[in-house]
Amino acid sequence: MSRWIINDVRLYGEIGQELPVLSKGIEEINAEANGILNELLRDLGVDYQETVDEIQQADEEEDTSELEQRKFELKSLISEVEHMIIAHRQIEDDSKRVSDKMQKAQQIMSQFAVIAEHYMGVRSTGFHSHQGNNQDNQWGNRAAKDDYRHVGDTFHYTKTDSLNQLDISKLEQQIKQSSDKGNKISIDKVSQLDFDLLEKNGYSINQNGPNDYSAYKIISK
Amino acid sequence: MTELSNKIKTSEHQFQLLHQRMQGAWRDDRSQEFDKKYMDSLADLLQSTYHMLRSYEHRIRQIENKLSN
Repeated sequence: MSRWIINDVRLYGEIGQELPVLSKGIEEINAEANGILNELLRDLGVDYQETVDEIQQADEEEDTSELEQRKFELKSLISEVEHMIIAHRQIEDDSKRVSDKMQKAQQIMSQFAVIAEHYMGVRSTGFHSHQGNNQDNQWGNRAAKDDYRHVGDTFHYTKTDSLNQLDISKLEQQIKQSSDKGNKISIDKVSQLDFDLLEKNGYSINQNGPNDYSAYKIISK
Repeated sequence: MTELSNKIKTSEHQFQLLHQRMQGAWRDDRSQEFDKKYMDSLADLLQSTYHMLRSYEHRIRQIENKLSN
């Protein structure tokens, strides 16, 4: 088994989200550049046609050498822009390919996050010696530090740091796998910033005093 | 085109910050594999897009100058 070292578990989620956004952005910029080139081609084409028309409308004795010169230059510029557009297709194809690849990268990061979550659960039940590869894993240390307290029928947990989905999943997994009986999870010292996440996970928010909140959830165990 | 190449420069900067964070926080054979397979592709694309846009910018300016003379 390979050695697995990560100092910040949120990184998986952040990489998973950021990479497709970045690659999509490049794809859009390249599409926009393609639009600019095509617009330029169109403008040159119109200019060329108008120049041809001017030459045709000129009187026989009128000197059209400047117009002829312009027509020649426009023809050459049109050809140049056409080549730029053809060359640009390659980078647009590359952008699409990389964008698809980043979707895959996002899936991989999600899988890593799930494995990590599972790993945290296994570790909390005391099987960590079987894993045996995480001495440098600060995340594992955090799991040990933040264990719940079982009082009566309630599993208490005090939030000490930022709260994220992995913290909640880890806590619930620990409780689920424990032999302790209870029907409520209570998370103390939550902040207003956590409300959305907690409510999404089925928790009710309770105000205990000014700027003092906890969250609880009834479970069957 | 100038605006587009500036946007790419900003994306490149965001990418570098993420990459640096990744290198500082995640180190194992999986991270190296991920680096080679995904991060390098994105870094290459950012670089080639930037150079391409800068060359367009230059060429378009030349075209405009040529036609205005």
